Amino acid sequence: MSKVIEINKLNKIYTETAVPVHAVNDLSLSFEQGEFAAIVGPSGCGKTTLLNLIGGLDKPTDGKIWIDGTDITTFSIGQLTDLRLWNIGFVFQAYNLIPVLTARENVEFIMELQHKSKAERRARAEELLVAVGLADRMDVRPSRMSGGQQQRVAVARALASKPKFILADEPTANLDSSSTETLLNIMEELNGKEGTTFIFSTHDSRVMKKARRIITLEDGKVLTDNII
Amino acid sequence: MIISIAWKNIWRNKLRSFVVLFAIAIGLVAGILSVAVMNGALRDRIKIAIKTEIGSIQLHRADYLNNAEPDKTIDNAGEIIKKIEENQDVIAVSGRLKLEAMINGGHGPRGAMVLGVNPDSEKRVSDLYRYIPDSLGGWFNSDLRNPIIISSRLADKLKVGLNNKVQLDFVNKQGEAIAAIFRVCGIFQTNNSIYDEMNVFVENSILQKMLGFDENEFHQIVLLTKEDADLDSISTVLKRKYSAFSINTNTLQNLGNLKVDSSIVDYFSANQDLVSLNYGQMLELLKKTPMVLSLQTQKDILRAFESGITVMTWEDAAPEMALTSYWMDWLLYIFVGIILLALGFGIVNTMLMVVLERVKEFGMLMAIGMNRRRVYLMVVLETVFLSLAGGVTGIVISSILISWLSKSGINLVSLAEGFNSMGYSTLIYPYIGLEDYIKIVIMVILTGVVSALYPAWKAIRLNPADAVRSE
Ligand SMILES: Nc1ncnc2c1ncn2[C@@H]1O[C@H](COP(=O)(O)OP(=O)(O)OP(=O)(O)O)[C@@H](O)[C@H]1O
Ligand SMILES: [Mg+2]
Repeated sequence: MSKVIEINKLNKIYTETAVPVHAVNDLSLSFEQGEFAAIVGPSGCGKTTLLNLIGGLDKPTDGKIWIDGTDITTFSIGQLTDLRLWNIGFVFQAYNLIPVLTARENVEFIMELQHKSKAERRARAEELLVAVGLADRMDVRPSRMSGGQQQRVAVARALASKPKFILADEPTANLDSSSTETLLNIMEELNGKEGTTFIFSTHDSRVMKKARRIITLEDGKVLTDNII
Repeated sequence: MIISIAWKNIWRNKLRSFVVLFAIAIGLVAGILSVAVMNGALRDRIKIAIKTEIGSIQLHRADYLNNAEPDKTIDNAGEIIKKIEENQDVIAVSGRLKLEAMINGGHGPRGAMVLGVNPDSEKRVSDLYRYIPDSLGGWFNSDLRNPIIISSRLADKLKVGLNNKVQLDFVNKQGEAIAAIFRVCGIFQTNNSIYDEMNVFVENSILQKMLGFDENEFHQIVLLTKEDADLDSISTVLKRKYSAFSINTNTLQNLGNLKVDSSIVDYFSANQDLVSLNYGQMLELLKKTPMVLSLQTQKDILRAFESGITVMTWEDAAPEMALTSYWMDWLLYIFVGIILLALGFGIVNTMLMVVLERVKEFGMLMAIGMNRRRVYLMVVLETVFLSLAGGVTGIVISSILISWLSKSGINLVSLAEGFNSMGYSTLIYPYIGLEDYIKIVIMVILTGVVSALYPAWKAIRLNPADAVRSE
């Protein structure tokens, strides 16, 4: 299997604070195509910071990140935006969706940014929404969906652009246990079916159990890295 | 999809959007109504001026306008009048003698312009007869000898009344001083006090005998066209036919003894635009002509020009009125512009709030791959839509109000004194043209775009990582 993400001696120091925070500290790590990996660790250990760096949402202080062999740490803001659009799917803890659009429109939106044809957008949005079990909620706006349903739309949206990998920062943090279970099952299934790499952070031990690789961070460093 | 998102986003906070929308609407209604009232007053003023004072188009002998001497009458005026009457768009034509004179009622002389008119044809080009109240005589309908019609303002100044005598001192065609006694047979009053004090009317036939003019000899031909007629094209046709220039080229060609080089005629004929030149401009042109002309030739050409005709639309004849009309366009820009500027600050403020409220959402949009250009466009569109919604509401309300007010008119009696002296009517029918609404819509869109610049800039300056993380 090929390496989708390769990280070498990555550092992120937040300097805007009174005391500089070394949120990611000389961290090296790599991910291969098709992984289903969890990043865990105590609050403040640097999970979100790491995911933001991998996702090109923020720039590292030091170190390298290669995505499919391309160093993204030298990218301009515009290049990073394109990188995210074409290669990375995002699922956040909340506020994932555009509130004025329906589930279907939210999923189609990202494909419109990619200039996909109307027919292709329709077909893929429906296919994905069916896959996440929302066949009957396609034309409903986020405000009329439960938290779990909204997160499932977010997963569908993240997959719609056919990314190389999906980054999900605590996607289940706001969900009850049965919704968490459903979302994880869907993610697992899509990981198997579409072969898309999933990297997600979590505090939840039940979520960790689903992962096939668990990376534990502490003070911005990798403490343990176990493939199950 | 960005367009539909932007539109839908406006209605997320309905109360706030409606407040902004109504602020814009109310501001615009105030601005549009003010401009419409001024516009209406001016249009009315122009309409009345055309119908009583100026006419739609005036013709004079070219050099009469430079120096109004009695002998500078229009050549072939009778034929020209007949020709003009054939035009479908012309309602009526009238020839006038127009002479400077002193008028005296026994309490000191005053300067006046004596208009010698044919009572019948004059009545068709000018509404002036309507401005004579029943109690103050009528339009040449008495059997007084040498009747004259003057304004009530002039009558006051001269201290004369109906049937009283006034003496006119003027110069006849041969340049000799003539004095004659007239009797006031009618007293008129228009809204324009300056016009009133200046002009007096007598019968053409009487002046002709008194001063030695022929029957069809006039200083001025006035025509009234239909209201929707294209004045420019009518005046161009008249210029082509009768202007100083066209008569001149014919004259030059016909004057065999005038040894004028054919290249000179060609030079003047080549340029069609020359037909619209007036006498003064023609003089200038002659000075600048590339050909070397002998002094005698120049004189001959000028004499030929002098006998030509200058054609003036009301805009040429009353340039100050045309200028006011031109400034009216600017007034719209200034009035509505200032209102929109003030509203613009409110819009900027609102959109900054919108951006601030949606930091997380903008972060998410940028994170999933919406580039800065699109984010910027979305904020601009949202602002423009909000402004336009207010703009359209304002325009709809204004047009309903204006169409209602333009039926009943607005009475400005309290302001009447000042208004009257400038010839403005006291009952105003607000008016605003379709093209003005289009201008306003464009201004509203521009306001939206400009107001969006800073908030949109704020939005794209967000760092997606921080924005997504923000609470
Ligand atoms: N924008 C920032 N400016 C300054 N310090 C920051 C910023 N973002 C994060 N930090 C700090 O960096 C460290 C790592 O934070 P991060 O959010 O990555 O941890 P986390 O593992 O995601 O925590 P949690 O489980 O609570 O989400 C923390 O000490 C945090 O306070
Ligand atoms: Mg976190």
